[in-house]
Amino acid sequence: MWVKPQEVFQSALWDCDETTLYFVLQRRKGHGKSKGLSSIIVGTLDSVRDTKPAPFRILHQTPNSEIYYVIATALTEHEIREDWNWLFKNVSPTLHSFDSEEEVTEFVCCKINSIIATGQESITEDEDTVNYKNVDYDFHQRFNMPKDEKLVCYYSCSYWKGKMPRQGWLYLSVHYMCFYSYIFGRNTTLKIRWADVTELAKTNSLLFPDSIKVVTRDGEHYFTMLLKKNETFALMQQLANIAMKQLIDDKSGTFNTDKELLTKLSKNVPKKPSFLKRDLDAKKQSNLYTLRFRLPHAEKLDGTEECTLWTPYNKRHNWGRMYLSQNFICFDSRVSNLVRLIIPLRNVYQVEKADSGATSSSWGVWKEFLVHKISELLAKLPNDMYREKSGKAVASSRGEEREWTPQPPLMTLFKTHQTASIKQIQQKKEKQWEDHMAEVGRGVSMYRTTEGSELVVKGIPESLRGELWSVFSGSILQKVQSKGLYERLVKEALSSKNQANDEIERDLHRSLPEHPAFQNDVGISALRRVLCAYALKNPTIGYCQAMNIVASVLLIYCPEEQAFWLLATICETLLPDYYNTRVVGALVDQGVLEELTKSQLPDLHAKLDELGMMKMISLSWFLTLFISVMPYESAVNVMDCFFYDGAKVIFQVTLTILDVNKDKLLKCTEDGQAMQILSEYLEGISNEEAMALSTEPRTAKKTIKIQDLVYQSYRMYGANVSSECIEHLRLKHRLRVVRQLEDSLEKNTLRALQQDRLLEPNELQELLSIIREELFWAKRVPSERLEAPYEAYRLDYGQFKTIYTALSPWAKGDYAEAITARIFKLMDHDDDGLVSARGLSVGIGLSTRGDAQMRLRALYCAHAPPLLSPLELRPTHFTETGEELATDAISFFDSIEPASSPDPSLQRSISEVCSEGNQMDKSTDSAYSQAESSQAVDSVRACALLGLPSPGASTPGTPPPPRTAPALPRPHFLLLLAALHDLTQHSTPLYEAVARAGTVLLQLGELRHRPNLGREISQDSLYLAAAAQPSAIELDPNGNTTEQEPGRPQPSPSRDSDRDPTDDWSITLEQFLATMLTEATLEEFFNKQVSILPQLEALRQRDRLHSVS
Amino acid sequence: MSSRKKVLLKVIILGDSGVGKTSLMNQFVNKKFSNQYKATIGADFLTKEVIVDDRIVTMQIWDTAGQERFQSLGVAFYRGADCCVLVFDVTAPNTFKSLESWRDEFLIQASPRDPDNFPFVILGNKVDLDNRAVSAKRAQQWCQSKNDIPYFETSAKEAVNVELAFQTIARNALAQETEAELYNEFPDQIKLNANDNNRNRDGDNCAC
Repeated sequence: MWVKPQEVFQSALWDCDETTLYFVLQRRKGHGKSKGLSSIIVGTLDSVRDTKPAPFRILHQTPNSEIYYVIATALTEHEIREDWNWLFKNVSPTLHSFDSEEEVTEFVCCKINSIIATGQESITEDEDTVNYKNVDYDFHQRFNMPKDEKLVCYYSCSYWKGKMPRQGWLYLSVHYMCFYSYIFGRNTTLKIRWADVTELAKTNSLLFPDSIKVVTRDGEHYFTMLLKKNETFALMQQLANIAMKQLIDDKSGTFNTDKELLTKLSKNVPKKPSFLKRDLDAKKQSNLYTLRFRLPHAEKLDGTEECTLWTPYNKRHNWGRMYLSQNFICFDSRVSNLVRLIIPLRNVYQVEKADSGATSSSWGVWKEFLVHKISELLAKLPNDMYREKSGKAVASSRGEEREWTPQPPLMTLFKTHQTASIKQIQQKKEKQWEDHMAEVGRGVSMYRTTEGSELVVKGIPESLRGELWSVFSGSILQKVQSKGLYERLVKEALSSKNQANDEIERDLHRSLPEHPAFQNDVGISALRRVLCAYALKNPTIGYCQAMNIVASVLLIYCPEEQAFWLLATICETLLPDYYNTRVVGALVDQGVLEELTKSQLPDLHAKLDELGMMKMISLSWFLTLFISVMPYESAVNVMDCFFYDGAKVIFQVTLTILDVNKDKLLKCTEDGQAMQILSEYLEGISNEEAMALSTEPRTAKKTIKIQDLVYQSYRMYGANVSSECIEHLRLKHRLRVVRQLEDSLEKNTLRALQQDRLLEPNELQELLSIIREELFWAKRVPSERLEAPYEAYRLDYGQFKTIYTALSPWAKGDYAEAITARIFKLMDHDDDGLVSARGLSVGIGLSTRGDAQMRLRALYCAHAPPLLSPLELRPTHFTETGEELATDAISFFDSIEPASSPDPSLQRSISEVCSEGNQMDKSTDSAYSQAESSQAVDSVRACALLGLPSPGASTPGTPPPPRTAPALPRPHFLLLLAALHDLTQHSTPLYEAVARAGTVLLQLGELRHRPNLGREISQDSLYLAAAAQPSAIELDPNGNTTEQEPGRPQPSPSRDSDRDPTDDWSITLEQFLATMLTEATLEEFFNKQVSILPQLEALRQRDRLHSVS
Repeated sequence: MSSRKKVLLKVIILGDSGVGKTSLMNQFVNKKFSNQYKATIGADFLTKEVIVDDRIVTMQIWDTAGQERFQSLGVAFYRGADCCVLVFDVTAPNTFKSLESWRDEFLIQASPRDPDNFPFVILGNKVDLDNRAVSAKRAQQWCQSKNDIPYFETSAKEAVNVELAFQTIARNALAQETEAELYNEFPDQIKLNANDNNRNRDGDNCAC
């Protein structure tokens, strides 16, 4: 790479590789070839200082000058050679024509500068600095990182290896944290995956002063002497959290960098070493911003500015900070909760045009830059007027075909008979709110003031709930952004049939059964639409019980579409990950609650912990927002505050409930008693300002007014439990919960795998950790509805091959690829191109631990007709030798599957090819219908696993699949024989034994080769066959061969299309086993137990470089 | 054994979502049936005093959430259980197939002292419905294959066999409890020690 010519000194740190009259090609000492003390010192210097120069460079110098100019640098020798050669071709010849050396230098510098200038365009797009690129290169080399692993940032620090601090560099990348130090010939390397981190903490102990502690399942690591400890720690937390989120959501491909940042409007972009770091910082800021103002997730913070806001309702200037993003201007006062304001830019547009003062605000410090920027942002907005118009047109044209109409709030249809006093209270509240909103405005842009929050705490009047919930939670913004989406989702969701819809259907009548609206179709249909539409919108959640309960209450107070968007906001923003397939969010918050209880109510925490209660209470309370434990008309008051203030509210209410009942709880002797106390208390929470519409009379003894409870919760815990504190604790507990879930999945998988009794537990453990490592780069399967725990780990062919060839003794010779492919097909039970962890462990286990019978049977089955695809067999028509076949098999897999590429499209392609292969089977074997063919495949697979517990067999009621393998036709048998030869070629006696057995078998097969036997299964010959050999018709009416007794010769599934004389040639499994096992050497060979621990260790070494010193 | 002290039995009801766990519990405890129950989230419980062999026994019945995603959260509730009731819906074969995994999950998570002899009871619920899909014979066979688990066909709606089933549950749980008592003199410590024992022996038992 050419660099701007710069004067440098010829220093001792460089070795000259080549010298010409005007140019010198140099290599950094300590790099590549040169060895010796000086190179070690240079290495240390480079490692200690953040100079990290590129290891190769070209200098320009004229013979009579002492001054050197560096004109090119490069990371690899190849690269520098390119530049070097270019110089010779293009520059050197012209240099002789100059008169003076100054002119030469001037020309060279000018030339290089111009090259750089022409390349300028690409350089501005290049987001990262040269220095960073060098480090990035080093990072990938040193830690053996895949190319697409991105380095985020690097910091100088010390790592405590034992009692010795090592000065070096901490590298933080998207998936790993690494440490490297190189001091006087001793290097220390550490590589930790974020996904393995269980705890991150800032500590300050005597032993490790002022350090960052990183805990993994393998141990603790301490880093000290960080220059920017807080920044480093924050970044570590953020990266670990991203890793956890990926584990939760099973979509690791979602980490996208935001290129828009490059063209960010802001002027003074801070200097950061990597673009990615800037990106992550920006993401974090935007996250906080969207959380604070409840804006849609996609909103990106553009900048903030100190300013004052003039509030018309009290005619005052308020100091605070203004936030700007693509679609919003927000303001938050410096005094917390004094005033907060959100203005969607599209409203600004309208206000300007209408020139009304609905959201008039004046900015104290109003810089020209800001005005400019806001107008820039405005210009970027799509033309709303147009969009709305077209939207309406679409809506009206569609209106006729719609089979349903969205429900208004159900409380408007099912009216309560309010007593006079309640009516009065409600009216009074409505009046208060009307007055308030007259002052502060209505809708998204209303000023959120202290008076407003006080009104919320007292409880929102029923008639305004729908509107205010939507405004406070920000769900109204989502609704506006996605116009028409709900309608489309409902249409699609109701016409589809899936598991989520079935589960929803079962729960519709179990949501809020006491409310009359849900005792007839009006409410039930609306609830069905909302839940089904959401399950379709967010498949990672689908449907989780408890959502039905929340949604039914939303429907009472809000119009249907609003209820849908409120539900979406709850599931995605307010209670993140709560309802996903592993209820992770609820578990995280369980941990958060536990920690809060411990710090706020220590003695009660000890008691509840002793009773084992901490894990019981929060689940239903949190998942249903108290609706399932309190009367719903009381729970909605908690929801008022929840939408206004966020998840902190449920924590403070929970703490208050525990606090109020503390004395009683402390006296409990067992968990049931404590649960009783709490549930009686909760059922008795009353709301005297509203009337419930319920067919179930509220008979519980009244304990407290909900208004009092909410008020107390703010008074006692409002200040101690802040949103920031909750977010922080969630981060911490997420690490722990995800680790636990992964561990328990792993534990269950191990337990299931051990039942095969092939590999030893410690081997399985190692194997599983290797599988996890291998899968880490690929997409994980959603762990929903797993038949068995090991199904969570599924490998495609590339991944399977990597591990299988490294571990199995069968995958060592020339046939490794072919055998691996056949075992893969054998283990791929559902033909989806993916094999589970069990498939792999059994595949390896059979080849190393099974007895001779098992191993030979597995090999036989892998070569049996339905499995061995005709694609692999085709060349038999041209050649009789096995070799070409095998290479063909190799190219078959190679062409469709570039090794170990996790690209889903490729993955699809292999499964497509596999199923295509089956279709070939089906189309050529006209005697086999689709179902029969798959049955035959199943029975072959089951036969291969004979003697192992089968996962489905113990399920009550389902008969175990038949376990028979068909006879092998000649071409199949030849392939099998070739494979056996390959396995035994290392030893002459074995090889000869195989040859002997092979000869016998070939003769045996020849015996069975009786042409014109009439065993054709084709339609017209059936009669003939029946007449010739009544007893030989082993086919049941379905054409199934499953009824055959083992040992009886079986017809091969012959093909009508290409009948040739060898067609009836066949060898049965029993013949094969018997013949092979008569050879004692072979029996011994196949009985030999092979340890795979050394291979496992080697694989592990390749994958992980743990502290090599 | 005399009725010298109050006995508390903890019974856990497990089974797929919608098989009628809550209804069975309420039929037994409150002698009434309602189709107005909310789906159970987390867990719920009721207590009832029954007389078994002249002893007054308090049954503490825990009703759990059935949806699959809650299955792994049950561990908090399983602890110290004396009997586990597995429920399926005779009109829904899938709920019958799940019994195996519910049973396994319970044994793994609760890790009782003697997993082979831990008292289970199977209830085939909703026999009042016409569209029956799991035959009594098939259910019976499966129960026999699992160490002769007692099997009852119930209807929470029409109160068929509910009383009888829970009597058996109480009796079997009590037998378990009595056995546990032999290990310890102080009733308050029974559960804790039983649990500790289990934890220590966990390693030996898990390969079952």
